[in-house]
Amino acid sequence: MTMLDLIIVGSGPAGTWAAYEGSRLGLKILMLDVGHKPPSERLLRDKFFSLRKHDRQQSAWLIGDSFQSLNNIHQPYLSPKLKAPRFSFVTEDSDKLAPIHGEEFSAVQSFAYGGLANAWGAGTYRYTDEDLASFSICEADLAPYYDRLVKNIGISGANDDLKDFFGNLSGTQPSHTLDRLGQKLFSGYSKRKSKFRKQGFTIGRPRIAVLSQNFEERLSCNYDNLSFWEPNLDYIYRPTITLDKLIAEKKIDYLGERLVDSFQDFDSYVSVSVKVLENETKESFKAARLILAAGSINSAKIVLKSFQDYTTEVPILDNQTALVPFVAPAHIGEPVDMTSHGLGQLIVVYKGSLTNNPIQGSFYSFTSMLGSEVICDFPLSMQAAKLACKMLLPAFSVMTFFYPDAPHPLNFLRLSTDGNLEIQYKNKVKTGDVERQFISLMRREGFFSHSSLIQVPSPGNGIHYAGTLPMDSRYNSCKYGTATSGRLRLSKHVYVADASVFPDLPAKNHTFTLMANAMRVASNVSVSLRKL
Amino acid sequence: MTEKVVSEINVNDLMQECRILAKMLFGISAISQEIVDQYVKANHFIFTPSIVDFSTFLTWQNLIIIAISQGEDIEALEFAMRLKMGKKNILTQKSLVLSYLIESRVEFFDRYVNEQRDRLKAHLLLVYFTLRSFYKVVLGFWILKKLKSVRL
Repeated sequence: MTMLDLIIVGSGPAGTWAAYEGSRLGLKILMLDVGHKPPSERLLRDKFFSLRKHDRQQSAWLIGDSFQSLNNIHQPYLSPKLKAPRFSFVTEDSDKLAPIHGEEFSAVQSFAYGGLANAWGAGTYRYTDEDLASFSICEADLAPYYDRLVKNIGISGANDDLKDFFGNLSGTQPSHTLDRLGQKLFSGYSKRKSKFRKQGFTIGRPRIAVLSQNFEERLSCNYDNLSFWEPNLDYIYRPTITLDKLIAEKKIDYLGERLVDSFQDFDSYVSVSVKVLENETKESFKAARLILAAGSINSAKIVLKSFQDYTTEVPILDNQTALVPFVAPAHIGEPVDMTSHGLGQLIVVYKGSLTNNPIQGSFYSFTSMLGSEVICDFPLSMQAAKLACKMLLPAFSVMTFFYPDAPHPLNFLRLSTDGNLEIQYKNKVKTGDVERQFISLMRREGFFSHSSLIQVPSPGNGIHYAGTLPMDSRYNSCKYGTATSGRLRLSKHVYVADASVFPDLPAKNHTFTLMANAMRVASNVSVSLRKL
Repeated sequence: MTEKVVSEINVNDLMQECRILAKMLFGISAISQEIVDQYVKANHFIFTPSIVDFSTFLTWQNLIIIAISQGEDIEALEFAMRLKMGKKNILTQKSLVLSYLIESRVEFFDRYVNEQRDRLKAHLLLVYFTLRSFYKVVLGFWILKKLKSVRL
């Protein structure tokens, strides 16, 4: 066994940025990870529609040798990105490595090098003090880390009506060029802003980790519509960019093919038990400190296994979603918009009397996906639906609303006696009111929908999990809570750096905040080691 | 229990099914053998016992075979089944499999992607096909009723 300053479990956004900060502060770090690797090189080098028109091998990356793109036949709300063949490494083996009991919650887990953020929507939103109301930290605690992240990863955005919702803008690149439907909605909103605002809706440009200008060695976005199909796009930030550098510069040691099972606290160190996947053997490592960054579900599993606790129910949070399709009839029969980045075009925030907390929506045009994704959703016979794919899709958009979440006794996970997790999620969010009001507003802008078309995927499909090991004074009674420093209250040496520590989940993509908080936790670990 | 549900189905029946679905649902009368082979392989991957209820699958698969052999309007039948049972019925799932396979071929690019601006033509076609869908749904429910005794 080798003695280290710090072991980090997991290579996702939290693990990567904890490693970044820890190594900057001079800690000797080992990262343990299963680490399914992304395809080593970029395959797709032309634009999406050009490839579809000319590439005779396109079935390989559109459908896949194992028909990965057809996985939604049985799982209708599976993210198109997660089932794209070149993204299949993101969720590879997750059912085998961490099976979950319970059908109410569609848990998506990743054991990939870089984690789920390989397929993220790239939203980079600061949590404001309002968002952090139930946390034991405030915006000022995270601000220095947010600022350094902005400088390191490259973010685009605008200082518009959403500035209060997004927080400080400094250091960001200009916003991207909107696609056709994005322009239509934003122009309509700008002209009739007061009507939207009166009903509680504010629209603005997203802040995303997608380059609108060249940044270090990475080229800016060329609007190739490939974000759903090619994982190695330089213009979208992913944690592996940072992690590759840390490993190449020997700032951390990295061991893949390691599935962390549990830890054991000793007086002056922590021991970590690991399964080596390639030969099914066991190993153990010891370090002065351990940071869990395996994702909210798996970090909780490691903790419960370490304490051999098969009875305690720990909270689980997710941003539940509702999808509203829109058609803009003025664009029916137009050529498809071939230049987009395929990610969210606009952000809608609702703050009004219909809900207690703000709701965030992302507006997407349907420019980067196959028509087959929606062909069976048209209430038309198949030949008509095929025509609708061709003629309607240039006019087709989707608004995805994300709802906030807070702990509820009916929503929890626990460890089963077979060593796997069981998730129960019975308290579901009430959707429909905000969506109906938005549909009515959109009609005036030339976007049409109907409340019967609102789709509500089962919980878990938001893929923003949090809250399993919360840091909050309100939850001191929570057996596996964490202190403000990120330290697991029941342990002397174990810290948690992922979204497990979030006591509540605002309706904002939480990845940017969990990266900033992971840096803060690594800094606290460094301070605790200096005290020794 | 077999390893794959589809292994219970005659491959020739699946090939025939693919050709009929391509013709009746997507208007492709001469589909390439490459897509047919891919369709058979996709069926093996997708309709596995761990995901599909074996007896239900076979019942509906046989219904499809009977409908094809009787020369029924499969497009009408699929639409009626989708409206009655949702997207998870076997015929709609198989149609969706074929749609993905067709859409991912260069030769069918222009059937799914519009490159020309022609709003009038688009609206007229959509009106025609919507009216046609009304006819298809009535026909589909009649076919379903006719096949009900076979299914039971």
